[in-house]
Amino acid sequence: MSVTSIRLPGRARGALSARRRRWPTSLVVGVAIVVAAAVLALLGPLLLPDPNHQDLLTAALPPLSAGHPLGTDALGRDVLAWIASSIRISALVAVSVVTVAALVGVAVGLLAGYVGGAFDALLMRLVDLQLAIPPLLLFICAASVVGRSLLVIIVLLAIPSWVPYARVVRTRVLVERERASVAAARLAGASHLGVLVRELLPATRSLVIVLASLQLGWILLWETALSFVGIGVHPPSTSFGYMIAQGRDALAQQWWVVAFPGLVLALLVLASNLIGDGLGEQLDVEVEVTDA
Amino acid sequence: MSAEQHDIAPPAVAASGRHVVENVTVRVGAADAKPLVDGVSFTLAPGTITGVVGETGAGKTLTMRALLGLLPAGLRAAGSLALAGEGQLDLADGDGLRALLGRETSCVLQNPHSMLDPLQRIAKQLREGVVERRLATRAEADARARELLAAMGFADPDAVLPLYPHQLSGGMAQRVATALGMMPRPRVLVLDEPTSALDAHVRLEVLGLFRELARSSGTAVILISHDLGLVNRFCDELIVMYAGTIVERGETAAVVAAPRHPYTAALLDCSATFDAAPGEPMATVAGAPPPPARRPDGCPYVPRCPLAIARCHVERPRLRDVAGGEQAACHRAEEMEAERERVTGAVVLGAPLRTVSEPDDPDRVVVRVHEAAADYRRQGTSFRALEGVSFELLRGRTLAVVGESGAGKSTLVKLIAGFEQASEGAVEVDGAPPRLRAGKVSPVQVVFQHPNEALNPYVSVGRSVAAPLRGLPREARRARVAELLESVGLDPARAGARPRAFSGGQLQRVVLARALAASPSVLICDEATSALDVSVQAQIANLVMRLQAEQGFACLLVTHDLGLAHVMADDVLVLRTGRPVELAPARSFFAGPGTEYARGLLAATRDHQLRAAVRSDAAGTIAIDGPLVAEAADG
Repeated sequence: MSVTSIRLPGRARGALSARRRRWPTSLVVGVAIVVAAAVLALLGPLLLPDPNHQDLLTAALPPLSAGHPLGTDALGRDVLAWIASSIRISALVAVSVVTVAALVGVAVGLLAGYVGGAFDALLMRLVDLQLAIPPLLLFICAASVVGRSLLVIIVLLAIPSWVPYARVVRTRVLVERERASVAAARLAGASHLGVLVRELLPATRSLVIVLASLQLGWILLWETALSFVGIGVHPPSTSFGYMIAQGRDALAQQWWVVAFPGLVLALLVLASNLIGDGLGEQLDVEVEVTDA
Repeated sequence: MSAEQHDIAPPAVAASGRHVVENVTVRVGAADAKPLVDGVSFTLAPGTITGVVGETGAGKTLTMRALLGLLPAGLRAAGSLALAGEGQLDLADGDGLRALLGRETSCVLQNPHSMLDPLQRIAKQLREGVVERRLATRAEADARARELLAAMGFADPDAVLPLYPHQLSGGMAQRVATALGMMPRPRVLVLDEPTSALDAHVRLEVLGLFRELARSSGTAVILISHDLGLVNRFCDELIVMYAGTIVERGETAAVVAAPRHPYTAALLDCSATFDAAPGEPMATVAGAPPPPARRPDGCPYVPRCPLAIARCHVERPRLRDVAGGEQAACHRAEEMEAERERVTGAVVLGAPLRTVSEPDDPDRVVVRVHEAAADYRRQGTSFRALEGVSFELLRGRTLAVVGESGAGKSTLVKLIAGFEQASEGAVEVDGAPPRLRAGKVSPVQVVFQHPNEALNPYVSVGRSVAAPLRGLPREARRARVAELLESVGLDPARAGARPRAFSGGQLQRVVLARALAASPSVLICDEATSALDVSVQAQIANLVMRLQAEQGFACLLVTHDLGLAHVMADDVLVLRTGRPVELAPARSFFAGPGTEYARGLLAATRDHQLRAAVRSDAAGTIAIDGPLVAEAADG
């Protein structure tokens, strides 16, 4: 994932205050999907069977079967319960990864942009180095060495994910540090840390929020991919990736085992992008992200 | 109101060959909202320059953008434009207007680089528009480009054509952008603050070229400007706008000599800085223009007008013919001549500020600069930005540092504020080299050029002002902030508001309050008024002078505006390309600078100053129309 373009807040912002700001449609739709997913994830444990409960008597039931609205897989596990549980775990992974990545990336970006010089050059070469390593290769190697657990997955996914924050924040800081307000803060006796935290950090806020919401979807996909190839989340923890991998063999007979988790995953990633775009519009920031 | 205006500016203008603009109205969204521009009508004569002046928010730019079909999204225009000898065009028809743009109408923007594509050569950019619109063949376009560049003062147009925009200086880029605007041989050309980024003598040169070009091509040029001095010197006709309406219109010389609207008179007084007494408060217009939603039903200028009578509050004055072919929207236009002296007063804002530092030796040297030099290193090469500068600045005194861009003014500020270290010589503030230290408030405080960049937009103005008040208990700090805000004429109750809730002039006062919070030994005003409206410039200047008298700080006035230096400074230091040219007491400097360069600099700004011009004109000595290119072009 790398950032290909950034548009900073325009000067005209707020110039026409007479016009009421409305929520962009994309933001509304994105939030609606997320709310629906959250309701499903939270009510799942109360209303649905244990996703790991296997019962060969009710195996391979098609959708709309009694008690199994989305059917069951070859081992009799309820697809809807599995999806609800997967949303919880995926959300946990995605939110943790994005939080860690944002913290690290913002710190690196702030320092690189503010200190500048050789320090900046060193940090940015580190970033380039990071971009040169194919993430999947890194994940497979690392997972085979340190083993598999939720914590390991979070740490692994965070390793390449801080990079875009560092780049975006650094670019912004390079602009902001030339502002007269920074000079004024120094004349008023502010420390370097004070300037970083009070003058520069707030200016990166909207960029980081937009980037984080876009990145959530991206992490979701990566976590699924890792679980799909078998180095990610595995039972008793649930994952879209694991279920899709399991259902793949019987795709012709039990399409629903793959289709429904795939559909929910697609919707969640879509929501992440819609929210990112919508927030960008709302906050007047544009961050375009492409897969590296 | 509009129907009545038709009587005054009859639409049967085809005979006179003028372009007619009628009833321009610009609104945000709904038709019942109060308009931003309200029924503006005027005519333009081919081959002349019409100046449009007024404070920020007067609707100057919106009116002209409405004519070009270039209004920002969300705004809607009504009204009509009729080019001489042609039918009326509805201004609501944006597509129709944009079809004219680049053919019959054209514009040059404030920042020339925003008009030029950084990735294309000048030749292609000049050619592209007209060839695309099939106004000329490629060969014709190239020939015209050469011709225009030559007319714009380039000795060798062929040397300019293959260049990229980044290879041009500001003045060159502005002239290329103008050539670009003139390529389609437009009948109406809008220039929006085309020279505000240029040095004084380049500015005169470029404006002279605009006028030549207008005359020779028969283009009607609209020059939007906030600089009445320039408008006075270069424009044939003058339109004064206030709160979305035209308040006065007429031939420039007539309007300047005898303004018929108190607002015009007040603007002239504020601009006539060379006419003000040094050290005395300058003429100001009290208050600020009303925002569109709060414009009064009567005359919009009423809240600020010292001549207002009961009628002004209830009845909106129409733009009507007054003496000398002028039009003015004032009920008392005829009495203006008699009331001329009453239109402005020297308003000094704010309450006195208690000094918190100990009493000081009045003649103490606050800043000592001795043979200072500064270098900038970029990609291995070193560039000397400042060399051999020496001066001493005493407590309570003001030193004006003047010079054009690249003179080293900013470098000097950085040395004194401690942002950079001198590579040679010595700089001392309060007897020690300036150093920025965490936890220690600097004795040097700066009022910056752009107030909205000088304040952190994410915290309240109160917190910004409190920043230098380190180590004070919370209550004492709050009380001092209130005191400081009052001293600059701001309501302390607004301490909790963010910067975006304030106007530019108010923000500059917040910046000043923050600087004062530090009880500085020296206050640097780094072009502190140049981004503000004329009326506000005078407010800030008066405020600084009053606070200096109370607090006794030394002031370093960095400016390109010699008129301001004339009012505020005790001494003047002239810099040129990093070297000192002249250091003299203000009195003798303004009586007659000792060097050729400084004389040229003074001539470039002074000889279009306003009341001076009026007076000399009355005496029949100096014509208002000066030479095309200033004598100051080289010194």
